[in-house]
Amino acid sequence: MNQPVTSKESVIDRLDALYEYDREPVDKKKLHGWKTFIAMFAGEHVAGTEFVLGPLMVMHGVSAKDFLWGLLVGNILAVLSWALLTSPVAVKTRLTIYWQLKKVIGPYLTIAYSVFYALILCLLAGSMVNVAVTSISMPFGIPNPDYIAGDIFPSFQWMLIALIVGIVISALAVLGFEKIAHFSKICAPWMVLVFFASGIAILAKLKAATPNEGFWEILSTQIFTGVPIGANTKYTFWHVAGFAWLCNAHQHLGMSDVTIFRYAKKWTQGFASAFGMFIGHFGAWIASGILCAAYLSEGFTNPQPGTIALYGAGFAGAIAVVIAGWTTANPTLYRAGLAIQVVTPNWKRWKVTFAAGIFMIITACIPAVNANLDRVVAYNGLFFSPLGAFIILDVWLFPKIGLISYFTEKSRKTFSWPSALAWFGPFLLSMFIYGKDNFAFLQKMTEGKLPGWIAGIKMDITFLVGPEWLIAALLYVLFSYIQQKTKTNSQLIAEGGLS
Amino acid sequence: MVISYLGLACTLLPSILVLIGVFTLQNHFWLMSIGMVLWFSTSPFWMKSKSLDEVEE
Repeated sequence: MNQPVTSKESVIDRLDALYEYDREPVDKKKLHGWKTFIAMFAGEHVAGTEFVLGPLMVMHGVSAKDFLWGLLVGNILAVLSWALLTSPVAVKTRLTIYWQLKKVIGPYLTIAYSVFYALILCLLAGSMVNVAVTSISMPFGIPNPDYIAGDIFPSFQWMLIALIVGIVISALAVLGFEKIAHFSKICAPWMVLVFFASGIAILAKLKAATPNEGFWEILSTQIFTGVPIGANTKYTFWHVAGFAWLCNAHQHLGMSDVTIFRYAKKWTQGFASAFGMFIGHFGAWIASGILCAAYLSEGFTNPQPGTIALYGAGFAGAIAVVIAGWTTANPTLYRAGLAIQVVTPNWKRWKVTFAAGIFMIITACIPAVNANLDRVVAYNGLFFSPLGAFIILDVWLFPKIGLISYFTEKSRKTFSWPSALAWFGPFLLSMFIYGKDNFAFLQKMTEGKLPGWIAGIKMDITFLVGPEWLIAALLYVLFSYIQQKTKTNSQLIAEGGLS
Repeated sequence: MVISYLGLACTLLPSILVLIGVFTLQNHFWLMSIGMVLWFSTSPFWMKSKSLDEVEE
């Protein structure tokens, strides 16, 4: 494991070795029924992030009607994406995302995938450390950073707590990942009820204060007022629906959950994702949104996961936030370490995990990350989703239109140029369309220089994931056709060398 | 297992009692804390978790 890397191939070999244990398709004896997937989704999607994302929607001034309908439509689309796209591919091939990608985009792009994935995982783990510290800091009387009020960094004492929490989480990720994973499963049913109970109790408190108003009136006039807080932009139905659909785009459109669904007996088990979406991303987001809005309506400022949970559920709520942050950060950091190990072949596992842990702690101390967690999650979806389109096309479409599936693997290529162009091209185009209105340097560079029809495209990043996915798919088919119809490759295919 | 479920009931039911006006918010906070202690002190003894790689019975 600690041999020095002496050639380009050895990096690829090392990557293969990391995932060697799941190289073969899952055996039929190991398949699981509905119960496993329902429990898994219900547990995974009630996590620390839910304490951030529900309140973020409130901070962006979403109205009650837009919030509820947006969540309903967005979550239905997410479930359909898992059930109709991810699960059928997983059941047909029974391979992990790593081996799928290696066959489709080649080893070098798979390494790039691993590195970028590690970065985003460190950011998300840091965000969860931040969530836990918002609760731990309260008994010490240390104020949480207020990003809306202009805090760029937390106080020294706050960062000290984040450092201690980060070191503990990193140590646990090295020492006892399996036990933490088990503990997080124990926490799941209780955590769900903490969310719901605190939301119900606070709704009751508001109802008691205004007995003449119905629940819908309380929701629309006292909780979801439709007015953004601070300098936040206004969110509508489309923002909520888009975000609810695409916050897990990496897992469904991007196909990373084939790793889980390869254990499913039938593709229809993809519908088990509904339990995660409607308990976590519907129920828990509404509950945490209610907590945040009610907290603000009482004149408090700077709603943070720890403070709103204490407000709605007392001591148990504060503990729930610490546990939610911790149990989400831990597996996330573990996975980040696994992904980073690809490019740090001489490092021992504990060193890699601690290196990822340092990045996680730095991220935890940047309040802007959690204040823009919806953006971070949207960039994640935008970047990784096209890869899912390539896998779907290789598995389902290519055999029907006379193209060779898994051409990169069969032709023993280490780099797939059709994948690279179809992946990075639409991603950079999407970033440009979003950035020209939202990134200061791009605004400055392009001001008055763009044709009217391009300047006129005003799209939020969540609205770009769908079009980007479709454009990437079309380009991938086109480029794959060009690649496979070149003289050399056509000859190889005709001779049966790639069958 | 019964005590664990009692812990979950202590977590959720008080909020419904607050909603129908029988309970105060303060009592709801106390019972949620008791529910938490009951759940975490008993559930690890009977809740098993298995990885996907293990064969389903």
